[in-house]
Amino acid sequence: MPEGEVVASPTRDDGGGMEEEAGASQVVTPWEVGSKDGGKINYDKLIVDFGCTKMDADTVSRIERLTGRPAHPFLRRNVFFAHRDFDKILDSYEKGEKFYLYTGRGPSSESLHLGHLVPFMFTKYLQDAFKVPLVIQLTDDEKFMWKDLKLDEARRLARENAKDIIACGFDVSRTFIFSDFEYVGGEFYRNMVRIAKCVTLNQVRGIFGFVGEDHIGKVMFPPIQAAPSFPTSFPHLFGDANQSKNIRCLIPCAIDQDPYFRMTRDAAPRLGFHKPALIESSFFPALQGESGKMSASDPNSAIYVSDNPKQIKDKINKSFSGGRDTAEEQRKFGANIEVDIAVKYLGFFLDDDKELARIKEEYRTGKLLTGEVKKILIDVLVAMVERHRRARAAVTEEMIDVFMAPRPLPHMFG
Amino acid sequence: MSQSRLHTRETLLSFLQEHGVDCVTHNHPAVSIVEEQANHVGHLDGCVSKNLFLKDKKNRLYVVSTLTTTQVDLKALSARLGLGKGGVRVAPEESLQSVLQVPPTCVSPFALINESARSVALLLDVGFQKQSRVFFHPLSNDVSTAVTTENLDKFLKAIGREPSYVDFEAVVVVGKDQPPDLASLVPKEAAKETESQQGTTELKVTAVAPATKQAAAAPPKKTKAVVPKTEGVVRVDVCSVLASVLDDAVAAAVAGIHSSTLENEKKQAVAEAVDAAIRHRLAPDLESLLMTFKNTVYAEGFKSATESQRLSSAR
Repeated sequence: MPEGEVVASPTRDDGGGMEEEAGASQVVTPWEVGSKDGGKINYDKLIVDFGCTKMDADTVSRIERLTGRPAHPFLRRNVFFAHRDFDKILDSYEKGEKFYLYTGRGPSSESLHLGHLVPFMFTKYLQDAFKVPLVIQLTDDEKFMWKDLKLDEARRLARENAKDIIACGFDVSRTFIFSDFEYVGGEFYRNMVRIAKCVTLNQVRGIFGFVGEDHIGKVMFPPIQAAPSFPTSFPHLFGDANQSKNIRCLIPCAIDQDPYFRMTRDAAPRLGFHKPALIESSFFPALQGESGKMSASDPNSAIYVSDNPKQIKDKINKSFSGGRDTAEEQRKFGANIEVDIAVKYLGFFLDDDKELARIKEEYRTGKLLTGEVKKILIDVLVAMVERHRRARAAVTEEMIDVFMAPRPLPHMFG
Repeated sequence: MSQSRLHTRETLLSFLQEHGVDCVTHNHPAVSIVEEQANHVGHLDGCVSKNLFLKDKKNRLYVVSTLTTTQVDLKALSARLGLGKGGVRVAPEESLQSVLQVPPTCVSPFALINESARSVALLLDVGFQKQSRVFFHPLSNDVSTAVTTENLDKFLKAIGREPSYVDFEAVVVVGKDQPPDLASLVPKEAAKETESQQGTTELKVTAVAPATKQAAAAPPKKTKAVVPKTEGVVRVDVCSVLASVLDDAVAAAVAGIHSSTLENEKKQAVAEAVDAAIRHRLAPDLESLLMTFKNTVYAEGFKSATESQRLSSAR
């Protein structure tokens, strides 16, 4: 996602919007996420500021009923905790109407870490549960524009990242992966220009913080990320405007992308499209704790899918702990599970609700030691990373070519 | 005609109450097609059903009750029932009146409460089991009654029937070595019709969603499939293959345990542990493997097809 000075202004759509107050206690934009006093992000306040809706238990039950399977742990545990118009997606799904999923990745580095996998894991669940197609945008052009990368290197990274994405288990008969440098053109480009005509320079300055010295490639980019929200951008999948007029779009993403898609939702009705719906996740914590930042320059801040079991073990053992300094104190006073990173990671990746509750309770009361909790997490992560590694090794160049070939997907719904 | 127990909506609803069949009933203006019914109850908890009344060449009758989104291919169904190709058709109106004794718009599993419908077979969509409730007309088309599948089964058992759930969209190959999988559902005898029928003319029963593909694919506001569906293509659904392999693996392991020389209490404990291990430990790895397999095979096929196109256009 674009980086730059953080300046956000209220947008016309959906109410809310970041206000540039001197007293803003937390900052959440596509480039910067943090709480001014170094504490936790207040998600409830964020929902109010942005004007999106909290995901509630009734909606989660409704999803289980409609899909006939248990909800993904990320829904049960409030990882994907906010949305826009997700209830409209469910209403329309119930009536037998169609929707597709849209997500993406900015291929800036070779290796993905677990935080990158979270939206893809959830998107896979949505694809399997609702039996709908998915488009995945690799924004190699964006990375070329914003980072110090050669163009061909950006294209190469896109293909490398595609391997990790495919390894997450997407179904080729329902999935289209595309890189901007390969795919942009035709009706996709025509939509980009239609969108561009709806957004003023002042708006993008407000949303993305562009300044006079920024090169115009940056200004050109937002419509490229907006266009996949409209089905006619993919004529080989959804046909023309008439054929696709009842097909909606659902975008799973992290909540820092919200200001970005507000721009898209604003433009949609003016172009005769449904507003894309969003389902948004909270942030994946860095290994050093809430106040730490995951960054590519610090390998110890995250677990990468290319880490071997020993690296995973070492990183988790060094991770921020809510436990006491000594075993006696731990047994006596128990751990602070609110800040403990191992417990948080188990919350993401341990599927069994009962087991998770047991571990949390025993750790909190001192029955379990920090080392024991970390060991459980290490086992879970090693199994997960190994599975991913194996799946990635099985991805051939041919398979990538096919995922990225614009081809009809006759069985993409149902 | 066995007048003796000709039911009405009221007597049906009392019957349901007597037998502890929980249901929720909604009145609405008379509706003659599925889309209209959905307009009135679509917002309520439960899915609208579409109900077909079919007859085969030996005058045996079938009620086929499915979700509006489920495609029923009569040719495939006929093969799976062991009736060959084109063995079932929409039943004529006379059969409806004399056997089911309900108006054309009211075909539903509830209609089988009448004594005269004793030998009509009932095929239910396995998709009903995933829904919270399903709506059926209780002998009258200005009412819709919603039941859970458990309560539907209760009703059916109360009228002396065993519920049969069928996956209508499953592609089942029937041939020399593969017997028709639904043959057991064919009624033993033809229905006794009291009014003479005029051959097996295919009267269009317009009220019940007709068995043509278009109607079957179009619940209220659904758009037509944009990309044409290819007929006869075998679908590979990784989730169902996974479930099936896990079930087989657990069954095999448990059979092995039971045939061992452990004490019986130990056998049970071990069987449970193995069941859990297979389902929780093996499942994610197996799922990943199956998806990789599907994607690899698809990719090979795609490459092959593009190559052969290239070769044939080069000639």
